[in-house]
This record gives sequence, C-alpha cells and structure tokens, in this order.
Amino acid sequence: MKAYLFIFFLLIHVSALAAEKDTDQVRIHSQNVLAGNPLEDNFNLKTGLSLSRLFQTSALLPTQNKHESHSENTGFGFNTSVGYKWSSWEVLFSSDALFGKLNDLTFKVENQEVRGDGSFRVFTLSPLVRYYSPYSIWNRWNIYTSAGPTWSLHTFIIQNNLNNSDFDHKKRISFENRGGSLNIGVEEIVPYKETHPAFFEVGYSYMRSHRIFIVDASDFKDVKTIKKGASKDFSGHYFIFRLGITLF
Amino acid sequence: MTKFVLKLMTKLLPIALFLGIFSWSSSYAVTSEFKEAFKDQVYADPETHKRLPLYQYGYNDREHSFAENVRTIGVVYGLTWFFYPIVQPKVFHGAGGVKEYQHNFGKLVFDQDEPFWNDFVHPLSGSQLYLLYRANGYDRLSAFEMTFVSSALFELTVEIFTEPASVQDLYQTPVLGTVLGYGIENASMYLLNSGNTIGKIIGHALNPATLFPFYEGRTFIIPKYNEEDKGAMIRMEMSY
Repeated sequence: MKAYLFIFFLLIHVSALAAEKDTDQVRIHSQNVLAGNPLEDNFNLKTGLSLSRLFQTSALLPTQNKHESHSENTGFGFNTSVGYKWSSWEVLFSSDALFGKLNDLTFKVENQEVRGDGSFRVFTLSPLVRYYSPYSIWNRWNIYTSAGPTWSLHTFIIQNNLNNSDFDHKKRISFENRGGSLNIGVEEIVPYKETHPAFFEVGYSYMRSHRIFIVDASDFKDVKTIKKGASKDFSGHYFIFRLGITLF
Repeated sequence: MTKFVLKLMTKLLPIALFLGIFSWSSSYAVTSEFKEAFKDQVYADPETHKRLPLYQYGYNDREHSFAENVRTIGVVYGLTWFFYPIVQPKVFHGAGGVKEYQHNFGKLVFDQDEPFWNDFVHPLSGSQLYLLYRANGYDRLSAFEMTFVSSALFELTVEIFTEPASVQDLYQTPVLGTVLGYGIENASMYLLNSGNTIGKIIGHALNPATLFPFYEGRTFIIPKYNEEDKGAMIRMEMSY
C-alpha cells in the first residue's frame, strides 16, 4: 500500500518537474483554436484501456478476533467518457468496467461468512469536472486533473469456498457502492479533434458499500436477486492507470 | 455434441448438394464469350488488373430538421414497442405486464445482469442504432445523440415491462454502442469499398443499415472509355 502511494506521489512529482509553465495560457490552446476546429467548446467521446490495483476490505462477524478481511487484486478493463469541453474546463460522465481474479476474501452475508477465491467485476460511473491546466510537458502534453463522486457496482463470483460454506458458485455477492475519485493526466495537444488525441491518466478512487445483493445467476439470461439489504460492510479503494484516445 | 454435429450436417447437406449441382450446371456456360460479355459488368483496373468497386460507399452527413429527428426517433421507438414483446414473450405470460410496468416506472437501479448482456448485447444493439442513424445522414455526434435518446426511451418506457431501467444500460448502450459502431463503420466501409464480393457480403453483414433504402452514402461509379478521344472518365451518380 505504501509502495503504491509512493509511486503515485513520485509520478506527480516527476510530472511537476518536467512540466513547463506556459506564461501565456492561450498558447497551449491556440494551436487548436487557430486551426479552425478547436477542441475547446466541443463535445467529445473518449475510450481506452484501464489497469488497476484494487484493495478490498470486508467486515467480519463481530464474534471473530479478526475484524476485517483484506484482498489485493489486479483488474483489467476499459474506460469510456462523454464530455463537453470549454476552454479550460470540461464536464463529463466517465465509466470504467474492470475484471479480475479474487484472492481469498471473506464476506459477511447475513449471519454467515463466505470465504473464497474467484473473480470480480466492477462497473463505475462518475460525473466529473476536469480542469485543463496552463502547464504542458514538452509543449505537447497538456496536464489536467479531474474529480467527482463515483457510483459503482462490485460483483464477486466465488468459485472455491475456502471455509466449506454452502455458497453456490452460481450465486453472486454484489455491492452497490458510493465514493469519489481524483485523477491526474496528460492529453496530447493536436490541431484537430479528428486526429484522435491520446491521453494517459492515473487515478485514485474510494468506495464504500451501501447495499448488498445476493443474486442467482444459474440462468445467465435471467439473473434473479435472492436477497438484498443495506450494508456498510464492504469498502475498497483502487489506483488506476488509463490510456486512450478521443474518438470524436 | 456429436448428435448436434450430425443434426447440423443433415440440415446442411441438402444445401451443399443444391449449391454443388447448381455450380456444376452453370459452370459449362462460363465460356470465353460469356467472359467477354461479362467484362462490362465487372470493372477492373487495366494496369493492375484489380477489381474496381461498382459503388463507392461512404457517409454524406447533412443537417436534419427537428421534425425529421422526431419522425425518425418515433419510427425507431414504434419498432421497439413492436419487437420487444416478440423477443420477450414473458410480457404476455404473467412475469411481465401492466402491473410490472407500473411497479418499475420511474425506477433506476444498477442491474445484476451478466457482462454478456451489459458489455456485449446492449452495446451491440447500440452500435446498430448508431449505424442506422449514420446511414440516415446524421454525423457522428448527432448519431450518438439520437442513439442516446432512442435507447433512453426504450430503457425508461419499454423495457420496464420486465425489469426496472438500469444505469449500466442507459450509459453502455449509447456510449459503448457508439464506440463499437465507430469501429464497425470503419471496418464495413473498408470492406464495402474493397470491390471484393466476400468483402461486400461481410461489410453489409456487419453494417446492415447500408442495405436499407434510406442509406444515403452509396454512390454509383460508371467508368467510361471514349474510343475516339482515347480518353477515360468516371461518372458518379448519387441517388437519395
């Protein structure tokens, strides 16, 4: 955990050192504006790939000596966003879909514990506000930052019960979470949006469950919710690296 | 598995036999005279001997009036009302219906569907909607907006016969659908303009909206060679 935080701050530090302050903010954007088809004042749709490291924590039954169960996992997936950009600000809806393997995590499902290995998938949706700074790296990559609240659905598929519970592998444990995210990245400065400017971004997200669902996925065409209820037993946070392009 | 393969073979055998007999019966007719006559139907570059496409496929973006937008959305929306009960017969059999509709109306939830539906089927249907609007002369942004409106109308007022509207579907259908549609659009245009028959078949299969009469991007190319002037020209015809 400390190592990831260190890498995260190191990246920011290196970016700050490499960044050249442009005395004239307009200069960064002028290449686009003068080209007659500016990226500013424009709608955009972006897509790309994501790589993340997730730290997941689940509360255990109060009778246990141990209060929490932890698991660290890597997730892969894709990201999309739709936004509207003014000169330095952008309002956007951003989404990540992540998939990965789960290592030994215990869940509190009503009054029993389910411990297992398997896989997980996450769908997040975030309305974000993004600020394009007047700084660029090598006069080509515009530095930006974005932040906003996050809603997510975190689904766990337990394939191996490690405490021999009778939890069927066709069942899913799903948490509806709320949280927030903070991102920093660079976007290529290009004259035309049609040249598909690339972006690279690192982000941090925190989430905490507010509802739990136990669903039966025996019939993949018609997944049924068996139980649902309020739950604050699951929390997680993740660092994510995104890369992608503006599609149009 | 073996049974399935045998069953498939028995179904495919008559078709294979028919095609075999058909190709054998017509093969004798492919004489040099026939080839000479056919020369006018298939255009080839005289230097490279590569086949030239008969049509140039593309997209002609144009402005649409508000009334036209409403009419187009209305037709697509009407079609969803017609087709949804057919693909979801449970609407008529108790599991869905008017009571379910009233119960789900105005609800917005995270659905628990498998990734096959949320990350494949819904984006695939979104991509075909996007391509439908592209074929109708909408530029990329307008096609995305129309896809968003169409899928939101379906999600909020039609699909609630069987389940509440979901956040994933509202977002993934138009957004991932447009991303997928963008890729299909480029791939299909490349294949359709290759001049290759198989390329054209796959291109139309990927992008079926190019087969409809409302598709506005097909241009007829007529190469002309003038014997007297020893000059060549290409005439292009567009019909809308």
